[in-house]
Amino acid sequence: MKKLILVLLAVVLCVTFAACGPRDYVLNENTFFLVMTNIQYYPEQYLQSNIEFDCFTYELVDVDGNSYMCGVRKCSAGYGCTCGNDTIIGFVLEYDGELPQPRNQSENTNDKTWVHLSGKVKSADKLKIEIRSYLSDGSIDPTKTEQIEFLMFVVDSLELIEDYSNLAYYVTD
Amino acid sequence: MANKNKKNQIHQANQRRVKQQQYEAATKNLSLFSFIALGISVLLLFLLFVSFADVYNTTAGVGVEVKVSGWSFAIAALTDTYSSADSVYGNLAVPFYYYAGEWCETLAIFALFSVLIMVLNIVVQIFAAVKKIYVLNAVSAILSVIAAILLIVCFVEGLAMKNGEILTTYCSNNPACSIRSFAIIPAIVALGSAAVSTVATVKHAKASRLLK
Repeated sequence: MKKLILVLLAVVLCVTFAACGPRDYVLNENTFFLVMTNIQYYPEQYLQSNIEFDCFTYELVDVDGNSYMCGVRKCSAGYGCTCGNDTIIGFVLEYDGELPQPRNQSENTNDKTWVHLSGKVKSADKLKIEIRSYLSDGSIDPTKTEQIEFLMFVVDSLELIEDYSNLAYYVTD
Repeated sequence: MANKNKKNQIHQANQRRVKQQQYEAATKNLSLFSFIALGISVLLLFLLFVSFADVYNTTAGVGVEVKVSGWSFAIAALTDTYSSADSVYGNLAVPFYYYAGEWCETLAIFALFSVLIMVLNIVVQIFAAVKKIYVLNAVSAILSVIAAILLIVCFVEGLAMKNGEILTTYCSNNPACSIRSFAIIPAIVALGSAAVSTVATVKHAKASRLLK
């Protein structure tokens, strides 16, 4: 009887500690937006977690001409509220290899370079990137700049997605 | 003399029997009231699935942008988890907790207490209905009123989130967007439950007077 109680106690402790440990995330079409939004707002919660998700590659160029390769999807500004302009949600990628070049990154089409990424958020501190502002019609305003912030994502593995017909380039709730 | 005493005893016994019959007739339908109040209280638990806070956009085809139910708030208070993306919490983490954290914590605590009061009320009502302990209807009425007050506070807190940064920052001050709360619906229903329990209490008090 004593042994049984000890075994049960051990099982309970194991389950408890397992539940308290870092949790991994595999984002799908239903959870992508909610979890990705949450990562942007509470990055410190995800630093120990392995995160897998599908996204398209996107090249950001700052005002000084520096290039940043990102893994993103398109969404509305405010990451959820459809009351602002469109923006992108995702990460600046850090990968020990060659990242596939973007295709139709700003076009309203699903025909983009889609990749399946696995890795970790590098830090809760966001990278500040100064870019040219966009006008309401989508064209670049050469007179104004704005600062955007991106989390960095260390990519452990990358797979090119051939069939992306079931993936949405624009995500909402 | 002995005959007179015996007659008196028979008369009193008859009176007691008649009073008991009148009491039983008067309390015959009281269980029904208790069951109705119980049914309303169970319905209340389901009504906690309504939005206790949401962002509504009047732009055609948009509607509710984000929402958090009463259950999500109560569970958040119970687990002290406000920034999780788990679906059980709805959109609590973003934008509500991020842009209106203090309101969320207050609302969550009141939502949790209202759940606890509702559950206690259901237990009391089960005893009142099944065991026919009608004095418990008074306790149930009080608990229902307390639950209603707690839910009204939730409603006020939900609407008060407009003072946070949700509308100004998250919604970019878009005039089409507003914060709503439907916590008033379960509050009204809780008052309905209190009314039924009060009627049962009054009827029981009247019936009890028949025994005197």
